[in-house]
Amino acid sequence: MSTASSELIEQFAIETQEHLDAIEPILLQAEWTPPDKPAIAALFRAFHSIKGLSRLIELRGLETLANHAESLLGEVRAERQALDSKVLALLLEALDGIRLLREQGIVNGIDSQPPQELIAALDAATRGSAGGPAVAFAAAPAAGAEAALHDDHDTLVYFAEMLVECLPNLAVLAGGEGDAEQAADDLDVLMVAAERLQLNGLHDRLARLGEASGPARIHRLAAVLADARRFGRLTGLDVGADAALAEAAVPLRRAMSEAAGALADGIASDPVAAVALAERLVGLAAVGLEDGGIAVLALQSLGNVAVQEPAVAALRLLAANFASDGVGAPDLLSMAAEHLRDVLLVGRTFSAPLRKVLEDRGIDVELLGEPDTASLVQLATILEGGQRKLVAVTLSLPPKNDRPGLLRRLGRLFQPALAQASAPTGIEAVVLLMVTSRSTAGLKSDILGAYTDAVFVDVHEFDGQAFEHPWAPVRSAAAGSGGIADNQVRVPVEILDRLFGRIGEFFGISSALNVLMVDSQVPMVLHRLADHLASTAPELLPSIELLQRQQSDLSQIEAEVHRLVSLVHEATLGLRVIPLDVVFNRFPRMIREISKAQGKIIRFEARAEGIKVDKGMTELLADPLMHMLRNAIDHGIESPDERMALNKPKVASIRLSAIQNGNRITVEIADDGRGVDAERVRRRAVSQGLITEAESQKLSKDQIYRFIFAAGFSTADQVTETSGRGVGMDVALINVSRLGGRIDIQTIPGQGTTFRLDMPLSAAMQTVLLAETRVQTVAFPERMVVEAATVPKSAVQFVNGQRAILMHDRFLPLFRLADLLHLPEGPSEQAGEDLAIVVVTSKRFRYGVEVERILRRHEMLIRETHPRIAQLPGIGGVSTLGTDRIVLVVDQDGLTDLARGAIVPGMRAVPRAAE
Amino acid sequence: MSPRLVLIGCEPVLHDLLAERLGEAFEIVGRASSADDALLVVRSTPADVVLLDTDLWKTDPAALVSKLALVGAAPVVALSSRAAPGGKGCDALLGAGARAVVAKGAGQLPLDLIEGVGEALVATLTRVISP
Repeated sequence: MSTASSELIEQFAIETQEHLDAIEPILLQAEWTPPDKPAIAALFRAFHSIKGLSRLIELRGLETLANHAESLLGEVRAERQALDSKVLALLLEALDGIRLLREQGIVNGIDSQPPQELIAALDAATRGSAGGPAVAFAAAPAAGAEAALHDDHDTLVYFAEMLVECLPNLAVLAGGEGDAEQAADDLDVLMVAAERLQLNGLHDRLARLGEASGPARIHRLAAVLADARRFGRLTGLDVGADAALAEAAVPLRRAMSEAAGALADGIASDPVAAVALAERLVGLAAVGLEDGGIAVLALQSLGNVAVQEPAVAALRLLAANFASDGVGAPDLLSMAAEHLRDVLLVGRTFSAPLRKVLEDRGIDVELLGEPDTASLVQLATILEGGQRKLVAVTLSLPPKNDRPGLLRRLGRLFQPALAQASAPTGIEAVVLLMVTSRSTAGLKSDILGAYTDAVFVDVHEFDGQAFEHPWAPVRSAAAGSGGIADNQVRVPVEILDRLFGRIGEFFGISSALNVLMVDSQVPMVLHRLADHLASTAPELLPSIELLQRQQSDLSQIEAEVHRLVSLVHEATLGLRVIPLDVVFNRFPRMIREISKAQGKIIRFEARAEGIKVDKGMTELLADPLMHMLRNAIDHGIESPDERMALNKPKVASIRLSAIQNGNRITVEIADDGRGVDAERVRRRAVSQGLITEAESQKLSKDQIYRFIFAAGFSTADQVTETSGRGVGMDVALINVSRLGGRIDIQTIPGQGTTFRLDMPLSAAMQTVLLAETRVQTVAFPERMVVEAATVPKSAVQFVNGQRAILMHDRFLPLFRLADLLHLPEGPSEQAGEDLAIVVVTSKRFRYGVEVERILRRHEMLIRETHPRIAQLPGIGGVSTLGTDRIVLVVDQDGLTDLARGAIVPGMRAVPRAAE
Repeated sequence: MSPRLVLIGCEPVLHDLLAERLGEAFEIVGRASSADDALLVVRSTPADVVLLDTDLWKTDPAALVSKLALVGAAPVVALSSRAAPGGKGCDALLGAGARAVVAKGAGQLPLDLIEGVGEALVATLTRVISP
């Protein structure tokens, strides 16, 4: 290996990794489904690129191996070699070899040689391809092809030739010159051909021409000629439309004149008839007569009193021009058309100053379409200056049935200038463009007030800074950018992590300051001081007022700083988002290897559905998924013989899928194996001392299944390479808990098991309700909180010995949070007669949690939690509030388990209050 | 019996809103969200009218209107955010064979489909169906 620069090696590492990532999924999928030609070509290109990159930094061994793999794929691509299991195994082996040689080259700078047996095997397969069976390619549609009128171009050419021959002869059917019998024959010929080409519209109009009589014939002929012209335009073929037009010119011009005159006469008196006349006029103009544009403009003028006069004038000119057989005043006609168009467009175009303001703020005016006058007036108010600003409001859409009503309400309440659908992060949303004097925070709050169920609402001010929105110029729009590579910068993840860390700290300090300001007693003290000094030392009042003003200014500036820091913080969280595929793509190979080692045949499907998640989440999710998949192979999936004996397909299935639901993500691992044997799990739990026999008999099946996640638990009789040590599923539960999620199990004996991991999509930020015990601040994730209330101590009652409280006609069991979490008791500051209660729900269990004091709702950054803390029952994470206040974040399911465990026997079911 | 409508549009949110709004007055006999599917549906499904939302197509929507007019007998009505009277967009759609054009007015997603644009659409679709 040469002394390649570190930058070159780094580039080599990145680019070869991308190719390797592309190769493996195709090869693994090929075991089940024959790849199509584009997939084979992609494989070939990837090996070819690796070869070229290796040559660049003189890794000859790697180049040799990639070259031999590429040669074999060349045979496959030429259909001289089938991509059978033997070839696939060889290519996978080559892939492993490439990985190893690449690693040695990058890390140690060593140019190692590939195994000669592998090279020989690849060569043998390449040489042996002559005469071999051809690979079956899956049919693939031609990429980028436009929807075509017909697949076979020759057929279209043939039909165009028929039109050239037959169209001019049809003029006689509408009063033109010619042979009527020939015309009837030609009409039949064209109808048969149009039917065969499934040009049903043209066929229909040809048929109607054949059936027509009287004045309608010329309009029917015009419809046929217009269709023929469109066919010619779409296919780029000559269809003889000009010749046909020449043959039918006299009746067509007469008809144009009559229709234009009638429309000019009736445009004001009979609006319904006017529409029909205008459409007829447009139909005649579509054959290609000169000055036909007036017809189209006339149709657009209907119903608009302001343009009636110029429209009538233009129509009269048109009628006169066609009546005089072309001896009119063409200049006058085009001037009339221009004038009509100008009058139509009054109030419908962007003025130059408005266009400039919009472009200065990062909007491509062309992408706004052609809005109506009301929208343009609304946009133009930005020119009035003052507090007005241009904002984009993005808000998630509710379920489909609720959308029409919500959209109408939003339109009426906020009167946006423009609206467009969007799907940021995969959630269907609407983006509203509006001019407003409200602050972005105030506007957001107004919208949330009008639409309380919104999953998210974002308000961005257009200030010339690029952000993702539908009207962004193409160069800065995330979508629609032609050269993706040109718009991307590769940044090492360490640098990003450092940046995120610092911004996170900055956000933490800003939050601390915000807490200080919100909790500050200064305004109240100043107020009381002012009251006191008013009578005792009034000369000091101006000084107090000065302090109050400064305090108020400080508070406002702090709020703005906190808002901006929060925006920066949110933006950096967005930068951390990566496709879930990155995690899912690790598993196909692992499953292939383990299943082969165990003699099992497993079809593995992974569907990430394009979901993107926080990078930190992928790191925490990878291990749980790996353990659960291994567990499924080891314990869930039967051997092929067992499956056949059970009348199940020999090929087992494991499906890994993810769906996003609002701001939550559900990942499922479903297998069609033997299911979990609850009795076996119970016996194992007893034998491993996790529970007593007597206690275990009281448990439901769902409770028994939870032992799977107990540390050290295993039902395996033997320890295998991959499983049976009782390590793994507990890690899965811990990591998922750290992500603020939970794991559910559904299992049917003999049919399979589904593990469902439900987690918040952005694990880093959580909205919480802050509360205090006597010694500790705690945070309840908002999703578990039903209600926070203060009730008199006398409201507490005992139901079968259990403390309970009556709320909304329902007795809720009541627990002290300090008792559930085993927190030390401190001195109570609450000497009053009231209790602070947080009503929470989880696992279909609703209960009250008594705290010392309820503080407020808060957006909190959940920090990385030490495993020891994560294992504490009822605790899901920690965070800090202000500079040094540690906050314990409650784990929804863990706390509920503790509450269930603490409930006094006899109150298993929550009693209803008497009506 | 309700008139039969084929609904074509590549923007899913509006596509669903239109289906729900127009489903009251029309029998929606076909839906398509790609040009290929649109030609297939219009070719193979007898209908009384075709409604095409012309926004967000990667190819020229006027060319799609022409194709739809050629392969199907039903009149094509275009719904567009680029259809200001007198504007080039409206000219192009009518010239391509659209029987009528309904302007969305304020962006690609009309907010009031219950009344506003919704009523205008129903009226236009009903009008072009009548002989």
